[in-house]
Amino acid sequence: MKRKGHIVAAIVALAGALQANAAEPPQRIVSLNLCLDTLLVELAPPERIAAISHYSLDAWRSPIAEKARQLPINYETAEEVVALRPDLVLTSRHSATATRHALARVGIRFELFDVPSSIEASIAQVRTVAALLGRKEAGEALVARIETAIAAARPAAGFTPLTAVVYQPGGLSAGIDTVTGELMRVAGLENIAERYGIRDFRPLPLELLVSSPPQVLLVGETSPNAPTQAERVIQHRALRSLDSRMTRQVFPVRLLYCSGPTMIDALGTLAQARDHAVAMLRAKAAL
Amino acid sequence: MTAPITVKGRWLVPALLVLVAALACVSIVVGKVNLGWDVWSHQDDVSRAILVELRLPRTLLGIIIGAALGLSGAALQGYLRNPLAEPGTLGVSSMAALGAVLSIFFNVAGMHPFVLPACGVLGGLLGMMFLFLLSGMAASALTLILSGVILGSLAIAGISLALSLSPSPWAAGEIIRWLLGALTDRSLDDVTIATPLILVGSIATLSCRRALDALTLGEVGARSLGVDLNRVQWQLALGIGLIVGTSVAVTGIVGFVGLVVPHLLRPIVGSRPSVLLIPSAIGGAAFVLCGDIIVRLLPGGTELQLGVVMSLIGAPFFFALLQSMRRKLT
Repeated sequence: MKRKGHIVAAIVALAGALQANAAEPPQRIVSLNLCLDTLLVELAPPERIAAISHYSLDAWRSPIAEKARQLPINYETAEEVVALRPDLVLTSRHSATATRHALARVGIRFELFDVPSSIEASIAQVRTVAALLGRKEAGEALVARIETAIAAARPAAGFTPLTAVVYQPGGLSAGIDTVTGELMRVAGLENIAERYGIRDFRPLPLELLVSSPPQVLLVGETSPNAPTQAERVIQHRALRSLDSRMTRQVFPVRLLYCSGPTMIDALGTLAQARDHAVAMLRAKAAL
Repeated sequence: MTAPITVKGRWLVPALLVLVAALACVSIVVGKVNLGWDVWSHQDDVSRAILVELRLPRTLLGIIIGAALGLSGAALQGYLRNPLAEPGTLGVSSMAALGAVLSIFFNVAGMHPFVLPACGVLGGLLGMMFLFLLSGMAASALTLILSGVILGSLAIAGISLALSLSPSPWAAGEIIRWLLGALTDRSLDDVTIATPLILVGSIATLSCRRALDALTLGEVGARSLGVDLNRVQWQLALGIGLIVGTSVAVTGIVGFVGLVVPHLLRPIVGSRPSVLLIPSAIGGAAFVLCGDIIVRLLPGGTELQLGVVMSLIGAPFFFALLQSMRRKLT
């Protein structure tokens, strides 16, 4: 009987907390992860963002490097986060567990997010974060934009998919189980990374790539003359000697890792790569 | 001075050359993609790209760099009269890598393809000068090795620092690539850059061979034979600096070649430094080719770095060497 009372009390308290949440959305939000940064910047007004992660400043990897310069940043340490006195911290499974434990000890509310592995999961995550922030309308608006982009990126009915593969500096490629892999399928590109057993984000050996070149090569960006060993592989003569067989499209690494709003730009780039390749194939057939 | 060549020694060079030729053939055949026999008869552009643009540069670089590193190890051991001397253990390779990485960090490497190896050579030269400064101060084998370890750690710290501070998103992977060298995905462009520099370095090193022999009598003995030690020192620093700097700029640090190969060959050709140089070069080529073939034969999706295999072979060898030295000394 006594235990039941406890449970009832707990439920009442929980309901109260939820109500308080609904009434009073968090006002000082901190994010510790690049991909959650992109969601936060998209969904919350700047005055409610206490800090985003320093990864967002990285011009290579961050899709929001421009906006990030206007916002306070943190270097993913509990010390900084505590000093910011946030009422909500967004962390991902990629963030350090030690930081999360520290936050728990201090009693700061944090929410842990997975890295979405599909478009569907990413859209669900957009809705979850929007609800947490008390910005459901903004969330729905973003979901609508993503869905419009998906519809716009689809090829015409009856289109035979073109073979394609992501090839970033260091040979990094994206498997079909990644969001990028799914976006490629949406845009009418058949990801041949699967043939080589690439799952997740793994390097694709150059020799395998050269042995059966795809029609579309989604190459990463490189700095001028590509001095690092990782970048040099993209300019390799073996790849250049097969340029007549494939079309190259720059697919920057900042479109690779995050889903959410980044999917809109990624879909645009993929559809452009497909249209460019189709035009090239037509031109070749006409000759 | 003509060297007295033992009967065993006379067959060594041809035998090593045959070994290198055989390993080169294997190196061309082995890879991620299994090329069937028909590929060799009627070539299409794909198999041509794999053979000419991927496998051939790999094999050529393996031979050139292996030979250069074997030669530099033998020369350095002769000059310092220390069996543990080698560009890798003495930190010269790490200094060369630091030079190359700094040229990336300060954004000058993109200006011309020769800038990166030139900075590597500069780093290697600095490392050699530091080393000679120490050995000039009558350093014991132990002091020399210890200062090499310190120089190496310092250079590696510099490499990690520079790459971590660089805006490149590939920094972490790049640190590994520099510290554990590899021949994976190098191109003919790399071969054309490395060959002239290494050739000059090897000639400079080889022309010191008479002085190296004289040095076995000690510095006073060498001087009395009319050897200009100052000149020899500079020539050797330049030669080895060029060799190590260039090879590190192209492949990253490939350690232990210059340590293992001269030691394996010394019992056969005898302990005269001048006779050891050429066999060590050919043996070095065989050793690196062999390591690079093992790397490609090992199962697993991503290739292991060549430096890993070389260290796995070289480190136990180094320990065995230390052990036998200790027995001799005590």
